[in-house]
Amino acid sequence: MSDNKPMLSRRAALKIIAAAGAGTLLTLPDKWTKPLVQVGALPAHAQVSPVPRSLICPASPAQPTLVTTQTFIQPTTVQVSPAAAGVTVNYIITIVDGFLLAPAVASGSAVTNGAGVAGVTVEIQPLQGTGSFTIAWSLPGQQGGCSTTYNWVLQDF
Amino acid sequence: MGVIPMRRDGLQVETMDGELIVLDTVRDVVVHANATAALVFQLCDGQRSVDDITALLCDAYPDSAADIRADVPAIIAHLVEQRLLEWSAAAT
Repeated sequence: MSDNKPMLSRRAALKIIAAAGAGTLLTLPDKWTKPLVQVGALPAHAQVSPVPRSLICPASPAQPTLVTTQTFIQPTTVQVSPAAAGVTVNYIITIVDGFLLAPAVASGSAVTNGAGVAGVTVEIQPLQGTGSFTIAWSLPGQQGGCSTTYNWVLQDF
Repeated sequence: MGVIPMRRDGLQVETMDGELIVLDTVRDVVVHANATAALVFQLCDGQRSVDDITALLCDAYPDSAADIRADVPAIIAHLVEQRLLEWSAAAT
């Protein structure tokens, strides 16, 4: 296998390994132990942690957004409480008088960042002078959730 | 042309005390890797062959070289089987 290759010094090898793991702040083990992995299926209600969680959506804007282009682009977010990274949150987008450009399909999932926030940017092609979309968020396997509605008004329609 | 192991796209990787938690949110699978399995996983960057990784780790842990020569190919095969790694064609 590697018998014909020149040996690196241990220090040089550790430096290369440390560089490979730098992106995830991997700690080098002091000694070699047998590598082990445990694989499990996540219960739908506990994507990352068994801690019960709830969702907090931003309030729907009181005023519609004036759209000066033919595309309504709206970043949307949801907050998981208590905050945790890596929590999968499902969304469903429903639209009134518009055509969904992005995301590609009206339902999907997003994963929270370190602040417990997940998000998706919604792009709508308005079909009328006014319209709206609602994005409803839920935790997999849990009832409830929250939603936010965004209205638009097309300028010069 | 050979093949080299590389991480699959779409995995959420978190570290905890030197160990690794990998979430496959598409398949709803969670994988916990101990420190040495995490090390091998991190070294599967699509640039190094199994032999390269084995040699690097043998150099880093010379007292365990015999174990490493057995362990590394086995754990990489297992990670491929668990769909955390995939084989990529290596440029010659």
